[in-house]
Amino acid sequence: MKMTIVIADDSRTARFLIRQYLEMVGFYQAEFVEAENGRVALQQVKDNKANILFTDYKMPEMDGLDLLRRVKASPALHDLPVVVITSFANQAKIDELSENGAYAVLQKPLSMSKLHETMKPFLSYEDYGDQDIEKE
Amino acid sequence: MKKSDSLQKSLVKAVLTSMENIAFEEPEILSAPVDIEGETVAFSLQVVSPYLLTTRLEIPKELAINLTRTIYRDDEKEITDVLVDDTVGEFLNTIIGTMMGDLTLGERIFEMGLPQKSKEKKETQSGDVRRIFFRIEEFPFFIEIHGDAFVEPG
Repeated sequence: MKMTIVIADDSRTARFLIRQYLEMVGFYQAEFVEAENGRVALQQVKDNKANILFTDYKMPEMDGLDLLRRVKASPALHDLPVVVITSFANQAKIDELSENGAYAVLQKPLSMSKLHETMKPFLSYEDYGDQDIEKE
Repeated sequence: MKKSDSLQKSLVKAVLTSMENIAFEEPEILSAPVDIEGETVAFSLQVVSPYLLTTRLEIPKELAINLTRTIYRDDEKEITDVLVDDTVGEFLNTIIGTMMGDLTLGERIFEMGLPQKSKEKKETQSGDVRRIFFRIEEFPFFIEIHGDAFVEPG
């Protein structure tokens, strides 16, 4: 079964980079759905029955923290793993996002080894294979 | 170390890390200001807490196009101005976020705005603005910061 990953970021280039990195760590068969803000992402998650949500922290209309809170408050979406990618990743912010239910918080620019480590539990040899990621 | 020195050190580190990780480029740090010729793309971004800072990235358009092309490779046939702007804005967002993360590690949450397209002003540099120049291939570019926390008297 194909995994569906929603990527929310107001920058098209950032969405592209996140998708590229995910493909490189093994999610080359996944279906990617893009959203330019949290409001659109929330709808995309529902419409596409997403398996994982990647979201930027700072976005217009609905930011990543608001999106995370709404996902975790929804009985239908509560178990959806939410990975927050942010350039704001100091420890205080990581703690705040973790307390609100983030599965992981990754810092921009993305580190391939950290992304691989974070996403490893979602990779299966049958569906996606596994790749050696060079340690940085 | 003075606050302005640690800001500058973190900023340089953030530029190098971001350019390498996003576009696989290693910028050279220039020790003196240089003239930037031709059309440029400029974005600004404000940090509002814990310091009040205004930051700007100004980059030759040709370099911005090259960096965008490096990122998208064959996935995007036409490198439009919108895509180039998006890429430069994302560079600045990542650079300043990385710098602030480095400066406030473990201390407190910082707040910053979204990148905004800015007018070119490559020829002027007033006294309260710190501007650091870099070069990728033959293209110089700069990032500047001004704000009370950065520029200290004397």
